[in-house]
Amino acid sequence: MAGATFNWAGASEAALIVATKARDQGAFAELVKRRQSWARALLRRLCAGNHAEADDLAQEAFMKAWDRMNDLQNPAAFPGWFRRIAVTSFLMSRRRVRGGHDSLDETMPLMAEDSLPDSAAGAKIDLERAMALLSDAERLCVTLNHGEGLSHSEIAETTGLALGTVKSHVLRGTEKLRRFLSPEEGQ
Amino acid sequence: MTEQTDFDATLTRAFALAAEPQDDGFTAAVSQQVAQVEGRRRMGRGARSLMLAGAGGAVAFAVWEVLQVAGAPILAAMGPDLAMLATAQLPTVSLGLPALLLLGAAAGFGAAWMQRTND
Repeated sequence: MAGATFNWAGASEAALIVATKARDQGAFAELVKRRQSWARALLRRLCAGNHAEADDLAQEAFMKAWDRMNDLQNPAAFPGWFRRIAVTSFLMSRRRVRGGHDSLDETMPLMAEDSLPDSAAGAKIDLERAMALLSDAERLCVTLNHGEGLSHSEIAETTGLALGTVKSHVLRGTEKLRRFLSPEEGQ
Repeated sequence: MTEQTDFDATLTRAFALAAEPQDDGFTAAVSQQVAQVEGRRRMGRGARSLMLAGAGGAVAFAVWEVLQVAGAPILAAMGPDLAMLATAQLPTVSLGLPALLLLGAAAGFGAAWMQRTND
């Protein structure tokens, strides 16, 4: 297999995507190598620091990307396209956990609000720990908004949530983080 | 709303500065999974080709057998001499065998179709 031995290290991402569409496993491996850090960091935030679960979801997302690469028309759209796959994998995992009903927990944080020390104020933000204060839905929307730089409407499009719901989750999630990371501002 | 805006900026900066995971074998694990999946698909495609070839052969054989059985009455209708010739030359074949072959062929085509759907 010629593609497996070709050195893709210097290739552009667009070239890797074109080669991956032609089922070149070496090109796809290089694409994974370049994007794994971003994808895993995104999913680790969504999974509130559960690294094992996040990495499993990242692997699942990359496998879906391998299978569906021919659906991607424009190589430049890869980050958004892949982000949507990763978010969908996260939502599906939440649906599996909840027995196929609500895909997102809208209320229950992984950590109680009073479990963060007051001394968090002024200290370096322990983002991963703080994110555990949010519900799944809030964490998803805050991560996509502040971490990925998506607008509210882009988040709605990516997640399938209503625009008003997205705005509400971003506002409430950000406010929760502000209250516990900068308590003096929240007074 | 200044505080909110300031905190938004702080939060965005915190996201940007957060440590990202190193490639601790993740790429290798995905590549291995891709190789396994593709290996299984190649085997599936080979099995499908075999099933289709077998099914095609069974259909051809069944059609040939049916023609042999149906051929005698047709020849008989064309005249007694030809009917005698047909009786002498063409073996009498039960219609059970072609039916079984056609059933086998249908099963083969079905299995191949299911495999393709699964792929």
